Amino acid sequence: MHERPYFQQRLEQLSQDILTMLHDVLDQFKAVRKAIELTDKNQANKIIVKDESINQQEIAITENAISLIIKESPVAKDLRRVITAIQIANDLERIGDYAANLAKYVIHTQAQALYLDAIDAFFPFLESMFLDLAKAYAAKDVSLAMTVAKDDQNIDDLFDKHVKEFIRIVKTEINTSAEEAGRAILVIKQLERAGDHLTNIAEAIIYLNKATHVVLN
Amino acid sequence: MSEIFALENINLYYGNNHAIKNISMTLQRNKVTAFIGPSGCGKSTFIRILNRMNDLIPECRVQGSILFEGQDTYAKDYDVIELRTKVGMVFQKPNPFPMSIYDNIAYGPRCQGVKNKEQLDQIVEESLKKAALWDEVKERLKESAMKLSGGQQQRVCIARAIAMEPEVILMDEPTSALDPIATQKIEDLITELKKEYTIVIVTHSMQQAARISDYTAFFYLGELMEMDDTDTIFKSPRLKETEEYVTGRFG
Repeated sequence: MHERPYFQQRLEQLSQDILTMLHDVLDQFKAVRKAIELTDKNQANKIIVKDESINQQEIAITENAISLIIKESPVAKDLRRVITAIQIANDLERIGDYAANLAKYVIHTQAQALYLDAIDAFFPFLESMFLDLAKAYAAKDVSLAMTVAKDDQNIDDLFDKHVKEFIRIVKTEINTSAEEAGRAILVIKQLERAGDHLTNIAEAIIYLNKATHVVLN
Repeated sequence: MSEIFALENINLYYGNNHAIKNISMTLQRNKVTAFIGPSGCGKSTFIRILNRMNDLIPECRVQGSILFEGQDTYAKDYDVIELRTKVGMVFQKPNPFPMSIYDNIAYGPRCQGVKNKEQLDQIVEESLKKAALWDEVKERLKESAMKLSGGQQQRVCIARAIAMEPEVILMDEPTSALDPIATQKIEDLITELKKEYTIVIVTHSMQQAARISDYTAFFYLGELMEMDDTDTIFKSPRLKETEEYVTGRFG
C-alpha cells in the first residue's frame, strides 16, 4: 500500500506538537501551584513569560495545519486530525492563559492562605484530566477521553462548594475582606474554566477518532 | 427526489474477464454522481452500461436489470439510438467533428430530421449558451471547431450532447486533458447543468468529485464498494478501503 510518507510524517509531527503543548501547559499549572504555595513572585514572573511561548506554540500548530490543508488537501480521518489540532491548540492556549492569570494573582495579592486549600482540592482532578487526555490522544482511546467528563463534573462541584464557603467566610469572619474573598473566587474560577476547556479537548479527541460530535459536560 | 436509473445485480464480462461484479445502484434525477476508484476498477465500464456503449465491444456480455425511467434498456425492442439521445456522453479527449462549430452542434438534430434553418439556429444558440460557450464563439460559428482550445472543444462536445435534449449526460474524465482554468469552467458548467440534467462523471480527481458531486460511488476491482452522499464519503466513509482511497493511501 502507498503510505504518502511525507504527508504522514507531517501529520505525526502535528500530533507530537499537540502532546508537547499539552505537557507544557500542565507544567505551567504545576509551577503555578508551587508559586502560590511559596508566594514565589520570581517563579510567577517566569510563568507569565513562559505563557508567551505557549501562545507561539498555538500559532505554529495552526500555521502547520493550514499549510497541510493547502498542500495535501486532507479528507476524512486526515482532515479530522488537522482540524482537531487547530481546535485543541486553541483550547490549550486558553488553558495556558488561566495558569498565567493565577501567576498574576501571586504577584498582586497577599491572601494565598485563603485559597491554597481550595487549589489543592482542584489540582488532582485537573492533573488527571491532562494526563488522561494525553494518553487518549496518543492511543486514539475514545473511552478514556469520555472519562474526563467525570473529573470536570467534580471540578464544577468543588467550584460551587468553595464559592459558598468563601461567601460564608466573608460574612462571618471579620479578618477576611470582601476583596480577598472576591479574589479567591476569581482564582478558583480559572481552574473551573480550565476544566471546561480540557473537556472541549476530550470532545475533539472523540470527533477525531469517531467522526461524531458529542457534548460531554 | 426521484430515480432516473435503477440498476440491479449488474454483471459484465469481457470474454472470460468478469469486469463488473454484481453491482446495484440508483441514480437520482438532477444530481451529479461521481464514480471514483483506481484505474481498472470498472468505473468507465460501468458508466458505459448506462447508454449501452459497451454494445460496440466484441465479447462483452451484460447481465442484470437496467431501468432508465422505468424502461428496461436491454430489452429486445428497446431503441438504442433513442437511449443514446436521452443519455448523452462526453469523453476524456475532446472529440469535435472536423467541421464548423455550428455544424458540430447541428449534426445531431439534422440526423433526427430537423431541417428548418431558424430552428437549427435556435438549437445551436441555446446549446452553446447552456454549455457556457456562446459568448466566446458567437462571432465565428462557421469556423472549424478544431481551431478552438481544448477547453472550448470540450464545451462544444457538451453543447453537442445538449442539442439532443438529453435527460442524462455521462462524462468520462471530461477534464483530465484540460488546464486548470478550462477545468474550472467545466466544473462550474456541471453545477449549472444539473438544474436541467442528471450528470454522471468518472473522475480521477478526488477534489473534483468532492467539489461538484452530490453522490460519490467508490469502485474497486469491479465491485461497488461504497456509495453515499459526497460529504459522507469525504468526511467519514463507512469502509476502511474507501477511507484509504480518498485519503490517498491506496493502490
